[in-house]
Amino acid sequence: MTLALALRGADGLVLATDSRVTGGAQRSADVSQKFLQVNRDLGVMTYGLAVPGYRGMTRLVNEANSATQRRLAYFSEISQLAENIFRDEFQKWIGELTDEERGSVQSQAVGFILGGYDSFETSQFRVLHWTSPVFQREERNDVLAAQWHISGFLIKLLYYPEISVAQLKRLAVFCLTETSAAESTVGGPIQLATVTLAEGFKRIYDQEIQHLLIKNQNYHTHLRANLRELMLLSGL
Amino acid sequence: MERPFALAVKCYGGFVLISDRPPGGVERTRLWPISTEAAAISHGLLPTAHEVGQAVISNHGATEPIDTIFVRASDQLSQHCAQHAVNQPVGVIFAGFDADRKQRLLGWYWNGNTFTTQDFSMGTFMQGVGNPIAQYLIAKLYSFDLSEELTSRLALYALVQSRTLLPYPIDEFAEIGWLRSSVGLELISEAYIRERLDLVQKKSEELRLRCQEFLAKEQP
Repeated sequence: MTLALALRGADGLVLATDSRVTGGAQRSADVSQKFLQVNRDLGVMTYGLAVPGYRGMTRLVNEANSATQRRLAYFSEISQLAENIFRDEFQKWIGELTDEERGSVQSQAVGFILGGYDSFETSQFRVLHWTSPVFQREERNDVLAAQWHISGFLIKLLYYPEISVAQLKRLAVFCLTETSAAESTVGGPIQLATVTLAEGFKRIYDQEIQHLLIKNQNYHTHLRANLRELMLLSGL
Repeated sequence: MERPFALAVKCYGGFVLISDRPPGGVERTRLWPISTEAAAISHGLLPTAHEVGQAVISNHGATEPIDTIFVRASDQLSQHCAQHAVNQPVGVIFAGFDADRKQRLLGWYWNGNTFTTQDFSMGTFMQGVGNPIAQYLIAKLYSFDLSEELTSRLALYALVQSRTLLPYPIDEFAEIGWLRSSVGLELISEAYIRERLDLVQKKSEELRLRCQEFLAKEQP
């Protein structure tokens, strides 16, 4: 499993995932690439089954930026291409399985999130979400996917619509850290990107993530102290 | 009507058992006093979870420890489900004290066809179904020295948050029982639960405001 977040702030989007992959011969490894940049303003993320997820993302990036055909620029044409590729790659992957393996594939086993700024058609930050087996497109304000439950609780506590992308980065890192502390299928290095008007899709690298992790120690302490004070000790 | 929320938590000197239920009336309870040393909580589809629970409470000695009761009750439950052709998932969590007065948490689960048992005695809590919200909140707030009162608040907070966030059918009211050795299960009054639920809801809002204020003041 994984935790994949696409969060909307007042001035842009934050996309974040962990990097843990579970299952297979190694059982667990923290090396999974779960999101890629599609163009200046757009990123794609995946969660769930690693193989069709990674194949879907890389094919989208390659075909949207083809050297031999027109490079796709419109959000609508990229999202249509994405939908076709995600469905196609999932079906191809299903075709490679034995009957027994196929029977054990669960509904919503793999999902994709496309997030970014639609600069030509709507001039809006947009987040689209698809899950197997139907890959019906769903447009959302934000997406919390796979192991989303703890993040759902934290977002309810901490999120407000006017939040800046700068604060939202901290919140995304906080959600990933809290989830990985409680859920063994989420963990490893945090993969984080922002999408803003000024900078487009911008990958946040390890040094800044480390800085956010250290700054977030205040959040952890504050949350625990307030939870204890309000839920356990007040009114005694 | 599926009722998956069932939580038994160890606390200082005993256990707190909690299940959700509709407000008003307990005619279909899921909390079961068994002896002075043990109690149970059933989960799964209603009315099956209630009927199966009723099958548990017969024929146990008034002061029997949980380890003796569990072996016999597991057999009785499995026989009951087989005889009555129960083809739905249903489970029972047993909490109590063994012959050495150690706190034990044991589970019996019928998957619609066959049964399994689990021993959660090393853990601090046991749930009807996996509930990441309750798991997270207990990990965050629990300590072994919490009293029944504080553990009940924690369990109610987990219930309220689970109901808000999880796609499970969870009722808005709760049944709570406190189990102490040599005393048995004390069912907590509706007035007490209502008061604590009101408190938890008010404090949830205060917590949200405090956290957002803190976040807004912090430098990005």
